[in-house]
Amino acid sequence: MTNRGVRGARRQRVRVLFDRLPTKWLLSSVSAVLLALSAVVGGLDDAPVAPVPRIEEGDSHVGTELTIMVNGALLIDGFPEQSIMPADGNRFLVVRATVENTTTEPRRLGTVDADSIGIAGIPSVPAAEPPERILVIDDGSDRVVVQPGVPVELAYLWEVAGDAVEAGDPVTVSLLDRDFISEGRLTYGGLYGDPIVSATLELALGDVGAGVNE
Amino acid sequence: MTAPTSPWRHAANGVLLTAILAVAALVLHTTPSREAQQSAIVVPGVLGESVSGRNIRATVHSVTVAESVTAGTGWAGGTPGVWVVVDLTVHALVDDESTMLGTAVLRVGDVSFSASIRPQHGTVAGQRLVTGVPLNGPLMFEVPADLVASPAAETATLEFATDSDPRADSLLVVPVDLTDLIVQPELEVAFPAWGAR
Repeated sequence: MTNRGVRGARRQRVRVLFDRLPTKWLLSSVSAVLLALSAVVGGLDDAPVAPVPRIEEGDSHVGTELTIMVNGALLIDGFPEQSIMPADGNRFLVVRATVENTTTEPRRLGTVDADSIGIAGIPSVPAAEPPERILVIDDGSDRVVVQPGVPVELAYLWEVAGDAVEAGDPVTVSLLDRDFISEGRLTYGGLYGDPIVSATLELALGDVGAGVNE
Repeated sequence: MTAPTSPWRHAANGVLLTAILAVAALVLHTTPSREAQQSAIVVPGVLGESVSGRNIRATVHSVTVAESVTAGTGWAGGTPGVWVVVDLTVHALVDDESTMLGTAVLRVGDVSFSASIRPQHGTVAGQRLVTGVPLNGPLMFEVPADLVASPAAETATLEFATDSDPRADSLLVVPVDLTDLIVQPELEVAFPAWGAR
């Protein structure tokens, strides 16, 4: 009985102290506690971002859906035999790459959004510009569908101003992974976010003038 | 002042509530999934015989495996794999407005391959269909070389529909055994042709 009385009185005193505590102190101390907690997980600095891996020409890079090996980048005047010519004064920047689909479904490579290979560091090409065309090197067909387990060598074409780049200029090729968000709830098929750069490589541009016969 | 609610009334409310919850649970757990509501209507077929869906009739005459194929257009695309070449006759049945062979799929186990559009006019993949006028021609599927001898290739299927999205419409499914076939070094196929054969 007395024990309970003592405990009750102490509780009463704590209660009174708490009531007297200014609200500002309360807020400050809560903030201090949160800051202290944040210090445990690395403070207020930006969370470290894993650097995008850099690979070399001829390395094959395993992405989530595609395994891509970039075989070179070059400038060419056009492909008159396929009736693929740039506007006057422009040339094509071609990235050659062997692409293998590692999923279980055929995959159409897009020219509306860059979703497998992009380039950066070329003055007349805006960032994230999709390739103008993707061609199968073997037969020159466009509208590329990569079948599962069958690697195919492709040419990605960007139109560049003829005087903006020359042989030997560096180009950054980025290998992209699609960012699957979820299956659509109202729409059919997967929903995808902006592609994620999963690796980059630096290449020096070659120049084959009007074209090459291999 | 209102009379106190009788205990029977309380019990009846409880029973009613339980019944509503039970019905809701029944509806929730027996609603067909989206796949079940929208999936394609499968029409099984047999190699060499014609099979008909809502707006498509097709006959798979033969299936050949070849290392290289030359189409009627002169196209001869190379592949690190092999070509599974299907000789097909197909036409629309009721409506040919914007009707084409949008789905032509070879399914081996879990893996699906779409008919190659690399031969362009040399293949019937993606070509327009006409009501009552059969289109005869090849389909070329580009597949890994070791796939045609794998155990899953015994129960491979060919699937055809008039749209690239065959949900809620007929999907013709013709089983083929790819392991039976001898891999030919070369194959020449004809240009797609209209008319009965």
